[in-house]
Amino acid sequence: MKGLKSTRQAPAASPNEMLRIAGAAAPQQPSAIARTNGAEKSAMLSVRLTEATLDALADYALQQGTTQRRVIAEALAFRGIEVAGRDLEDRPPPRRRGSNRS
Amino acid sequence: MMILTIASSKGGPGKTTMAELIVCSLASEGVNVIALDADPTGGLSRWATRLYEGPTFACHHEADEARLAHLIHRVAQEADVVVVDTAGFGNRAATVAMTAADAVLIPMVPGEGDVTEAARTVELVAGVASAARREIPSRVVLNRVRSSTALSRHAAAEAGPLPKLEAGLSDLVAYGEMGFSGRMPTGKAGAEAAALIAELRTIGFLPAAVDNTTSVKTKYVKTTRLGR
Repeated sequence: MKGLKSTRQAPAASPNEMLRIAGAAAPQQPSAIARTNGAEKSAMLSVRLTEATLDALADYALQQGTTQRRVIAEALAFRGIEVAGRDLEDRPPPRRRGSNRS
Repeated sequence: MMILTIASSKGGPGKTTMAELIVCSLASEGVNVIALDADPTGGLSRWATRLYEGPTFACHHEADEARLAHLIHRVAQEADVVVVDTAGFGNRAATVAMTAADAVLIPMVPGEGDVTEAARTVELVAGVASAARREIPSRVVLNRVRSSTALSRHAAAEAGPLPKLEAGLSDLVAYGEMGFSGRMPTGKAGAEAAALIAELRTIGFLPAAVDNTTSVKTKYVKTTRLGR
């Protein structure tokens, strides 16, 4: 394996930042792939976790300025599970658990 | 780690060919390179999976912009060089790939439409760099050039104000054959590819190689499933 001298000046932007910048630079651009109605259908998943875990999740999402749903989707994607692109987007504002905590 | 995005808002200027050449060249040197195919047609990943014959590199196909952003973020931590091939029209996945890039390479064939779209792509990269508040250099690279023709000379002159590479690819069948043979071209085409890589290194679009090669891995191309 060749050793390489990195020339990168700054760390890579986060995925959320990449999407934000791309949206700001070219807001009218379409997605590269057509979205079908079937792929857009959503369903509920209910899981029971300890309150401490849920509080930690809520705190983390608040700290990141994102939703708990997106934090979970990102964790799944990181594990190599195929996550729909829409689930990785920041859509509804953070609310419910932890939203009124200071 | 470096991310090189190959983009153009026009189809057919040789983005995938350029990506194949660069990835192939780096892999043959033993560089830890990962290819990302952000084109929904999946030309690069299909080539890498079914036809490519050479030292290993991983190739992932993802055209959904949100999933692509996460994929780039993940593989950037695994590879020395990430090469992203994009679709030939203005689309969000290509812009995300520009946003993540350290540099953007814009292939251009001789033709009025190609010069116009190359200029638009240069402008888009500048817009992305502005939104990202960092420098994202771009270079146009001429492809399918017939140096003896007035058309090639005229197109080169029209593209004069654009940032261009000295290196370019001639109109050689060897590049088309690579698409079917899966092998790196030799002879004049091989020399042109080497000159392209050398110039990309000189201008900092690719990291300089340090000669501590131990071995080149045998072929193993990994791909992920196609994006919807």
